[in-house]
Amino acid sequence: MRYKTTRKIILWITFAVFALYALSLLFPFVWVLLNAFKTNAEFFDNVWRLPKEWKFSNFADAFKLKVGQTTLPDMLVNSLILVVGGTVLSVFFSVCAAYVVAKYKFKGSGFIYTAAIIIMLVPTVGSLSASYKLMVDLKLYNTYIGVLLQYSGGFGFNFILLYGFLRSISWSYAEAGQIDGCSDFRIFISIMLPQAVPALFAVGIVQAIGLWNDYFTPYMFLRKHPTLAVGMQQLVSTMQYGGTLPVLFALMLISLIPVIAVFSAFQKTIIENTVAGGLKG
Amino acid sequence: MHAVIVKKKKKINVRRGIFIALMLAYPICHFLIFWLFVNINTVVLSFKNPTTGALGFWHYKLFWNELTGEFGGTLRRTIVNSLLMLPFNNFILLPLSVIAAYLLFQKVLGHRVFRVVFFFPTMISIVVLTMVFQFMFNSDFGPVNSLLRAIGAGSVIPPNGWMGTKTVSMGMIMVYCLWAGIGYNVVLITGAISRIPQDIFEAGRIDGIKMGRELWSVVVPLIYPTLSTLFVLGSTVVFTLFLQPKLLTAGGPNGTSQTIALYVVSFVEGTQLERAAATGMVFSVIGVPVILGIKRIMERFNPKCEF
Repeated sequence: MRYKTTRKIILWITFAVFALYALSLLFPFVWVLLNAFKTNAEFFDNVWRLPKEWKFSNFADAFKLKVGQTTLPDMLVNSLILVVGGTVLSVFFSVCAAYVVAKYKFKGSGFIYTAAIIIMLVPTVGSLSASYKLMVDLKLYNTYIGVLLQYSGGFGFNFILLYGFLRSISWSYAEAGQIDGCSDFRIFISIMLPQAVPALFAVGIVQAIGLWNDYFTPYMFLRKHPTLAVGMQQLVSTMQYGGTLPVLFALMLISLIPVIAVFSAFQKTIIENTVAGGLKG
Repeated sequence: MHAVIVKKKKKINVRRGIFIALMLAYPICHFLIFWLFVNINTVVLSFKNPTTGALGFWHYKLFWNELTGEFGGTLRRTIVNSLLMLPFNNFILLPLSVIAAYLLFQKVLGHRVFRVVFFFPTMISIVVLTMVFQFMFNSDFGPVNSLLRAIGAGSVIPPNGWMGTKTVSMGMIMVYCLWAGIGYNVVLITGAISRIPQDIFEAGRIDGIKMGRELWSVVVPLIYPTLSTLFVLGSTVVFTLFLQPKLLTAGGPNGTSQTIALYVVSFVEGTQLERAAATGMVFSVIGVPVILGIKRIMERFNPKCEF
């Protein structure tokens, strides 16, 4: 009986701590939201009050922001090109690789999986310099294709997730197909892939969000055509001193809209998919 | 008749071989160029003299001289900063995540909402996350400072601001990593705990074990594979952490919050590629065996049960 009370107390303390932490995560975004509707003067005058007049024009002004020659709509287009292209390429090549490694026995099939995991864990600290050189030498520096090539690897985290999924789906339909004389390619396209659509969708969403948020790759290899994340970072460094901060807040919110929309719609798929594999090395 | 079947089988095998090769062709080529070639070229670059193209140990000597020399304070600080991330990740962040995940699994009031909110930072760009973090701690308009002043604790505010004071900048990077990173760990570990068969918990409860005991003797051994992977990943952060300090403090003030990877990246940004490669090589030569060793050790302790 006494233990039950202790347990209850522990759980209430937990609730309080969790609520505080959750508040610390959400509060900054509410703060940004409220201050995005103020004039600069009002913002510096009092950051705590609700805006006297809701200045929706800050959002319109955000669309006029520029980094060099690149406007906000241009940045959105740059981000979209990389997100769509990068997601399609990386999911496609990952599923090709994961499928044959998971479903066919051949020399080195076991080795590939182990190697993929070890390579993900190994920190190759200096290789950025050689990647940079490779991009410059191949004349791919500052091109969309260069970044898309970097995104299109088939042995990353997507490979491991899809491998786990493909292993678990049954081979019996494929066997039936084999008896009917389907080629391996045909079995892959018309029998196995349709069963993997939910998994591909889940992996694709997580990948797309990751690429939308990716800062470093486009920052390093696509300076000329800044994406939203890169452009925003440059704008902060310039606007923090003497810019119109509420417009910057509006810009941040604009960048969050797609992510929040996708996350609310597919919240369950996204979390389940991240958690499902459980990250086992 | 028999010969026909064998011939047919051979034909199928050849076709299958072609199929497998085609499916793997691009991923393997990509790996060979963007991983293997790039890493080999890093080794070559690290010995190259940028002006003459001759091979030699210049950049390694430069590194050694800086490390041991009079002006190497920043580099030594950089290494210490990075090394500190290991105990921070593995002995503070990870245990806290495990405890929080276990408590979340106990169906605390609002656990469904907490799960989504805790996962929320994982979905947000690091650019936006570091920005709002900076705003919160800003010296001119940051809510943290006004809150501290309001409760009469204004004296704890560092003189040059939270990001700009030498003694606290690295601490702030860690605070950020905890704030932005613990949620993902918690959701992930809760997922692992929920895969433990329910009857194992029931058996324990019939025996009357308490929460602390259940966490340590039941949960931890049963989710060990997930924990050991997180431990290894937490260790690689020593060599890979750079975006957080880059975006929050740019490694400053005076390099007090610089990390190994940021040090290397800044050479690449200054197009001192050879120097970046050599510096990276030094840390890879130390880092790769250490990380693989840690992975080995973690596997040795594996109680070999998983769900």
